[in-house]
Amino acid sequence: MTDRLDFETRLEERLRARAALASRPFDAAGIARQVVAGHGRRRGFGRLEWPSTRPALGRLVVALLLAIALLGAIAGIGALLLERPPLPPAAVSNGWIAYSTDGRTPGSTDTTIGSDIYLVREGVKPRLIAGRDGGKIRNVCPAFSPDGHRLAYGIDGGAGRVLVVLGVDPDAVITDTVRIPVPGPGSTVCPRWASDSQRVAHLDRGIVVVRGLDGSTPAGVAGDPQVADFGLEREFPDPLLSPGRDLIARLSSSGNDCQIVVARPDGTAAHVIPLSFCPFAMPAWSPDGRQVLLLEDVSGRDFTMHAIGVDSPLEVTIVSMVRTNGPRSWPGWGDVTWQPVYR
Amino acid sequence: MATLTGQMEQNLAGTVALAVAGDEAAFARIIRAHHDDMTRVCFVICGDLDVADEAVQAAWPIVWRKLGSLRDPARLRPWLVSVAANEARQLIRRRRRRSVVELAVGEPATSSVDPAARMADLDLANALARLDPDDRALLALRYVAGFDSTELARATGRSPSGTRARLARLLDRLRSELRDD
Repeated sequence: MTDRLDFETRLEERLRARAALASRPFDAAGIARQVVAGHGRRRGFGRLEWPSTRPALGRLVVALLLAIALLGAIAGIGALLLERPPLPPAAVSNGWIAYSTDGRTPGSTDTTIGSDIYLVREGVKPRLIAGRDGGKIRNVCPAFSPDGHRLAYGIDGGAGRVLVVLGVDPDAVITDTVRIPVPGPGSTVCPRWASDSQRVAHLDRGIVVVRGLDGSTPAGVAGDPQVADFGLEREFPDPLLSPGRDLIARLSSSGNDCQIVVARPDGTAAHVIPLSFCPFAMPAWSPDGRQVLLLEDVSGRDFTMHAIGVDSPLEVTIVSMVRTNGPRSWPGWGDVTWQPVYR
Repeated sequence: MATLTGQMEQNLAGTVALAVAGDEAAFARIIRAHHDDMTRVCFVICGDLDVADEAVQAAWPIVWRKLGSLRDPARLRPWLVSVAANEARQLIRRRRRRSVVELAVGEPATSSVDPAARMADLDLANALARLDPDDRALLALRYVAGFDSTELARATGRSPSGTRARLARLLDRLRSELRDD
């Protein structure tokens, strides 16, 4: 590891030295004059000297394409709203949101000063439910059970690895705590739930290990998490499937403009939700499938969590200015979970 | 110190606002402050001084047109560098210039007079030339521009963790190619 860091340091020095060879005198005022004179903002960029028919033709083609796209979008939204099966009334509602202040694996964080887990919901101050003990432990990967009654998370610290399962009622009261030691030195425990909410699983050297809530290690059965459920290969643009499995949402950006694209899982009936900010992660859907959570970097060290409606103009701030553990340490998918509440 | 930082931020925001409003002098101040950084990053991506210059020159009109869309003036530098890096990548892809892959011929004069250091510089240049332009951009943004992983993610359209993983693979490859064991 030290060799690797040494290499990185030497490479940085060499790259900077190489880049310095490109420094040459330049005339800033001259460049500014040329740019401003040649590229007035109100005119078509560099188009005035072109033969007049080409821009006109180009504009016509662009206008046609835009019209087609607009019709498609309207049809898509209409189809999405009309054909989406109506949600069963009050079948599931949105409870508390749990988040860690750190990325889920040591590989996605540059610092090891511990991390906390909080519960929060709109309009309510975050409640600390797992503290870092003065920086000695990392609390990571909170995951609500499918029935919403329990919250599992991993602890990595001086006392080794532990999988913790908390009973959480709808008022965010912790009703009971189960601590399941995970033997061996491996990577941080990131729990995922079985569909029956009675078993949790974690990865150990790439193998799924299922644990009963009594700490037992039962044989795997249908409904237990698979390796893919741990999202090790997950990338920023990967779409996120809604809880009802009827929609996908993904983040998209062009230049400085960011948006969410919502579509059916087969990519049809897509519609775009423009955003007023550019998020760095979309960690979760709401349990009712009507909102997605977005994380925005607001200072280089702090993030803000927003909930955005996928079929409504809803945009609310769930929690703002959360300090991360370091400038290169950010939570993302797998570090935020939303509690389903069934009635 | 806090007051000084506040003043600097205010000045930056004021300069950006003036430039957005069409003030040529304010735009020149932005160019003066960042042109060199952008050129350095583009040089690492392109491997050729002329192409790097061309990329930065192509970046400034884009900056002028889109400056109004910059929401946070504090992010001016990463935004400018990203625009330039993007132009450099595009330029390389469009041109596929031979000089980009045959760097030894057109290398700029190095400051090093030590033959061993000179060889090391050439090794680095050749290792860079074998990389994909996107990978060179990642290295340049990280190590020359000093982007953190969030800025890298924003510039490359990947997640911070995905960016780190890609960077780690890239470092392993370079370490092997430069025989730094």
